[in-house]
Amino acid sequence: MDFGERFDLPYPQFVFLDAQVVSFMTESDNRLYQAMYVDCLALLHDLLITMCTVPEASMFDPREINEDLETSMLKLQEPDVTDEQQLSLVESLLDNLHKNRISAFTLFQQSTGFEFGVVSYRVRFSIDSYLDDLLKQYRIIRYPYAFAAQTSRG
Amino acid sequence: MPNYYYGTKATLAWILGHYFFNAEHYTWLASEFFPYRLPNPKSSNPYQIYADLFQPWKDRDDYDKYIQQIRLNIRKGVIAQEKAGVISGDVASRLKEVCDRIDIIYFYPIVCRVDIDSIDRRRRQISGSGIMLHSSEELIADLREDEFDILFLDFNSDAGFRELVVDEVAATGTFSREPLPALEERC
Repeated sequence: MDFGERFDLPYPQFVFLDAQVVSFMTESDNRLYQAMYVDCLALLHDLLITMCTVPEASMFDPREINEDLETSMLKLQEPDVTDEQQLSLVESLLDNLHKNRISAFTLFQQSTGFEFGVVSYRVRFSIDSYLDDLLKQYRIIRYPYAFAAQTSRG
Repeated sequence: MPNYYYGTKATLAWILGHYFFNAEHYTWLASEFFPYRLPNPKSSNPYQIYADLFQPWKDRDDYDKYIQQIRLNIRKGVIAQEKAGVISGDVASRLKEVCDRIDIIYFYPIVCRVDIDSIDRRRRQISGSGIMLHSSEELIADLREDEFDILFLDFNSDAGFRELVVDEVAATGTFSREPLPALEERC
């Protein structure tokens, strides 16, 4: 078995939302999008939290998480906005969720499909990194102006 | 002598259980408050959870990673209760907003102490690290308020917190206002 090749596998990462999308979501008229997105973050977090280096118990079954994510994403495909620019922002949101969902389930599969009962530390650290970024994204959504100011100051 | 188990949670989790989820509390319990030398991971260690909540609470550090995680965990509880039909969609939406925005003061840690022998075996679940690591912890998803004591509820310098939590724990039913607007006032 070529362990070297196996360890070189790229581990998927969490993808952050574009600042424009965060700004759109946090406007008072668009809070429904924010609520749905944060629900999805909570579900993705629940999927992986049992597999990181400081594991916690999850609340939902992985199949239930997958179904709930599917439902949320279907709802997002019927946006309430008509403006073209806003439609493109909703599309970005959906694209972001799609990528993060695939990454989370890939990591989940890598951590459950282990050999000899041992989960690779590379996978665990990748899950830690994914969850750290997910929590950062949540913080940015909660405090968009604080983080926008930090970014603009460089 | 009672066989006490202990679980630490943020006050907001107690508030939601008490006022919105039929006074039932989703509670993880460990066989000791400080399970030193037991195979409990950090997340099953009430003492460690207490420290992880207390420090950012004391510092009012709302950017703390653990606080973000607890906000999401409590939100998961809201999602589960909405799915179970315990709360309406409208109440769930407002509670999720509360999870995101409420003042960090409501993450003050409290410790639930339960005489585990008084709980029916069928309600005691072993999962998570209890299965994987044989850690000494159990989940009771529907812990009732006459089944536990609250320890370390020693914070009463905030009037809103005192009214919603401290006075209510001392004598259930003393909070006479609607709890949801009271929480939203602190967002």
